[in-house]
Amino acid sequence: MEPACRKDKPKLNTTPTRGDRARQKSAQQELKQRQRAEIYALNKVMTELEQQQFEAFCKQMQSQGECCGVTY
Amino acid sequence: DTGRASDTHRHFTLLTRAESSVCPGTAHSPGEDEEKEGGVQFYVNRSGFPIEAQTWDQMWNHVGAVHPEGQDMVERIRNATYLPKPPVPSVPNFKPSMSIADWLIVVYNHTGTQFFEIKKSRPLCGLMETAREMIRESLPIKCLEAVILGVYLTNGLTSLERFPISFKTQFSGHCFHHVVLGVYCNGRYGSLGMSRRQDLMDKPLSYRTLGDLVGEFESSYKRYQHTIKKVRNMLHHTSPVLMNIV
Repeated sequence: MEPACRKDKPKLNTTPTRGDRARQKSAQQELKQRQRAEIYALNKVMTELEQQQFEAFCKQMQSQGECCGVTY
Repeated sequence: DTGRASDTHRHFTLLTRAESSVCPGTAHSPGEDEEKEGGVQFYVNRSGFPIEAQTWDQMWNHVGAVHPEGQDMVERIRNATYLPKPPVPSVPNFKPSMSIADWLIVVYNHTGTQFFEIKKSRPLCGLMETAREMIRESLPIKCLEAVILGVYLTNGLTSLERFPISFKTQFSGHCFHHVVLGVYCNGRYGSLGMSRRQDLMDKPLSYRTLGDLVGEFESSYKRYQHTIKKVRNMLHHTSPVLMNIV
């Protein structure tokens, strides 16, 4: 009868290594930086939209004899 | 003249907006992560940073529905290989003699998603942690976040007294809420804040009375045809509590 081969059974180690943690942290940082860049790009577009809508609103008010106090 | 403000931020009282701004003629029950302001929906990021997928997609879905170019605009940004890296301003050292533009560089958030969660139940020290997060992440903010940031950045200035001033206004059947940080120094009142409109935020420390300062805001609101329904300031409160306003 052959002895049990303990060496055949792989050890299960789910503990993340220091390298895993560093890679995860780096990935998180990259994602944050990308999100920040997208947020600012989006905010620029939405700010321009808001400004256009506001100017259109003011022009409409001016034509109705009311003014937003905005000069162009 | 309403007299001198209570001293020290120990007595600071923060006013926050009600989560449902309902005026007669409107009806809405906001969901957990969404609120309404002026009849317009906005979302709140409660997941910290990086922003988790659901909130992130929600932001893009919202702007895609609102912007005339819709999905084209969304994809142009989300699929961009290169996007410029926004600068990170350095933390300013505020002196009352400085003009606001010289030291407080913040960008108004037009995305429809508020990136920093303001928990009304948190004590002031918790809100200061949120202010530190705002500085770390350096993202666009709105008026309430700006008040908290303003408190944080002016902590330690013993000659400066701070108190929130909140406004409830009405326009076209919708209610709008706004808040700025009133400041008082050497017999003059001013304000720090953030708004879509330049004249509804920072005011120089040049107003002799609080009434004069509020009157200036009133004049500004009139230009945009907003009717002021309520103005609150916590000038004389001495208990550090977080209050809801309706």
